[in-house]
Amino acid sequence: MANRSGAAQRPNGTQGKICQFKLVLLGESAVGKSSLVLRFVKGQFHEYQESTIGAAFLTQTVCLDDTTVKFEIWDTAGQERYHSLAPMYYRGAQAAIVVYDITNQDTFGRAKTWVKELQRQASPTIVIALAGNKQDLANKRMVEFEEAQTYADENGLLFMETSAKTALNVNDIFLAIAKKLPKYDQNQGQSGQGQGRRLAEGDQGAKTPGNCCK
Amino acid sequence: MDYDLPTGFDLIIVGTGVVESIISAAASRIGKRVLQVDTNNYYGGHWASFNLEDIQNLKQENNIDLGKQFPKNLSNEEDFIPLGNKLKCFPYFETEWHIAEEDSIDVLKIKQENLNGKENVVLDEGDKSKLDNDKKEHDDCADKEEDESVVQGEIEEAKEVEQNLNVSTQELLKKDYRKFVIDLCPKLHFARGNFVELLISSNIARYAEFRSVSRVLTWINGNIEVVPCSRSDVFANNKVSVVEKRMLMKLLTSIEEEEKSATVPQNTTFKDFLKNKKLSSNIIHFVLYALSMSNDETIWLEGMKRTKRFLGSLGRFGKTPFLFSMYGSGEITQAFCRLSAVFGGVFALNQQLHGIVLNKENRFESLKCGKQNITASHIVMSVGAAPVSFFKNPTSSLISRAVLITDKSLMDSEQEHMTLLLYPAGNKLITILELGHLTGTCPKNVFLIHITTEGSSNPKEDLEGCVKNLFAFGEQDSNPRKPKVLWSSYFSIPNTNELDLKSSVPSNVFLCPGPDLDLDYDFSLEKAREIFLSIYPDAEFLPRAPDADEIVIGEDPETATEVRASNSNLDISKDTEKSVEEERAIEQSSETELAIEARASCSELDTPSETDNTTKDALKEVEECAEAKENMQ
Repeated sequence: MANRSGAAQRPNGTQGKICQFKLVLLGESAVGKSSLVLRFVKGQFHEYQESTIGAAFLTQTVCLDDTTVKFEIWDTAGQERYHSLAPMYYRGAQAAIVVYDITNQDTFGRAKTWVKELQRQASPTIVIALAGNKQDLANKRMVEFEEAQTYADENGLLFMETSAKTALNVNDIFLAIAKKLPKYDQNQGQSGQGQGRRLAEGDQGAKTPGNCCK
Repeated sequence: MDYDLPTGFDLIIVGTGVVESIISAAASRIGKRVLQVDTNNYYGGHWASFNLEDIQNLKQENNIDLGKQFPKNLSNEEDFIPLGNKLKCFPYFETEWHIAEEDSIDVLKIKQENLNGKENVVLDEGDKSKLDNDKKEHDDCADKEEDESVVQGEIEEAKEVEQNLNVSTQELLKKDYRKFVIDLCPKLHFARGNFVELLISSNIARYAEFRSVSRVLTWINGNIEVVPCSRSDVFANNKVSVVEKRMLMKLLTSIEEEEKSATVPQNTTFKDFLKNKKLSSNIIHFVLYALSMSNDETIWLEGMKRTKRFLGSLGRFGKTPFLFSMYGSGEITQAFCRLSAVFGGVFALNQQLHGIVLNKENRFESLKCGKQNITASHIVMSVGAAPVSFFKNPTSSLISRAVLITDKSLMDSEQEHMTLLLYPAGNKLITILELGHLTGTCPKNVFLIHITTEGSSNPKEDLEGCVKNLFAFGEQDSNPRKPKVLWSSYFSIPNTNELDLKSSVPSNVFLCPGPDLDLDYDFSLEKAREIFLSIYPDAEFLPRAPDADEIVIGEDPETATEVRASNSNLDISKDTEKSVEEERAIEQSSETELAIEARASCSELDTPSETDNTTKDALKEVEECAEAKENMQ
């Protein structure tokens, strides 16, 4: 996955930079991974989100000063359920959100396992955020905020408690990641480091400049 | 196992090889309930990729008794058939290091200094000669280092030396073990081949990234030469004479008409056919072994077909007709599996598969997986998972493979190439792929070599001559141009594409062949399509999956935060929510699980809003500008 970037003319006439990043979601089933994405990308929340649903990937753009950050957000598509997530999923991901459910201690333990897995499998420069989801159910809390914060600090993770239902911190966590990601300018994008080619209809071979992390 | 799998499916797929995974994706795509399971804890079976550590463990795994992977169930049912046969194993598997395990103290000391970021790297004579011994071809670096007076330069040199030293011991290569992606069965894709067309038309291409093979080489008269692939290549090549250039151009441009008009006996070999054209031996070699990838026995019509396949894929992506999937060919099976999962397919690796139960009509009824009995109307399985009784004669020919890690390219060049080398060896053709770190399959400063040919004895014997001609082991070889082998692995894989996979098999059971010798996935793709259409004769095979852009409500980057802020107000999104809920009700009644992208694109169509469109346009504009800029560069 490339961090494709290029100078662009914005609608209002100013020059800006567009960076694209692959972001993967991880976490136990039913902690609200898909809900977080749906909230972030489409501003929606469904109380009875089907557990099987998963998109190829969704995209959403956030704006930071002179940079437009486009997230390509990959959901697990249920492959995590029987511990069968393919290594391809992590490939080239520049950011990850590891989600747990604050009302379920097991999911926090599992989140730690995912963080380890990322540190083992993913790019060493990956930006990892930990999201304690379902903050709207804080009265049934089983994972203390401080406990998670300490863990996140120790492991260099961004941390927020979120609620896909009330939208608390959803945009914020993506923004925080966007801020932490390195924004290469297009010159660096041309460095030839691991850039891959995306195939598309009618593609006669235009090369996508990119800077692939590996 | 701490979980139970669902138990009722339309289709069960045992194995995660290429053919199985394509079928899985195609079936999930048309809304079938698919379960795909594997006894391994990794994807791909004989098509898998491993890092440097895991491939060495594979050797041991291969020694595990088949009975343990497919334990016999103590079932009393007469119609219970245990799964698994010897085609699942590697008939031969070995790995070997060709470099010292650890650094000597001297080298370690230098490296330590470099790591500490010392500005002046002073190599005393002793250390320097040690370096020279370790890496003859890096003499240049050491010399430069002495002369260089600029501090910055020295630091860079120091880093370089450090990196160069990195490849010299097992310890240091092992440190980078995760950067290796070693394919059991590496494949290239013809730029206009059926497989690439499918990747594009089905939209699976978006899961993967590719690199173009940047040069095609061949072994001719004891040397490595560049094969001219295109008009400009032909003219740039100084090894081909002007007369030869004209001959080759004539042949390349006229090959289409040749096929129709030529009145050549059917059993003429392609070699003789080319000889009759009065072509020079150089040109015959290029066309026969490189462009058509034939051997001495290939008949002319087949040779023509292959030449056309090669030429037809030129000029689409890069200088050669070939693409390679970044991070290895193992990504391809995973991409199909992911598409299957996105459309509701259930995946479970590391499963204990005992056997299958057939009913009285000799039809598949259920799969015994762990403690569960899982039913489906059809089952597809990899050839290695199939019960022995499903074959008349479960012996196969073999594919001989070697994987080497080397310290430099077969043909040095300023830029890093991705190379295909075609090495004729009598009536066999050996294909060699050289991958550098830009393919995402190995660390910097080393190359990964994949050698593949038709197996006759053990792979080491099959490939011995070729490997010795091209590579050096240890300090014995006097030719300093040859890449030095740091690590090697030899193995063979059953080639099952000529096995009878149909006649002894129940009518709702389908067996998928494993890897074959084709450069591309054409054979696998055809098999997958054939099996899919046998099960679902009227269904469309892998129609285009929707794009992310087709689902996402575009937002003006300038006001993104504000728009989302208002979105977070639940009242506003209620209407959309309702329509989605209704949709879900419809879906549930039809028992079809649609993937989110399809659903989302529907709801987007249902509730179009003006802001969405304008912002989408704005975003598109931004992207177009970016694209235009990229093209200019």
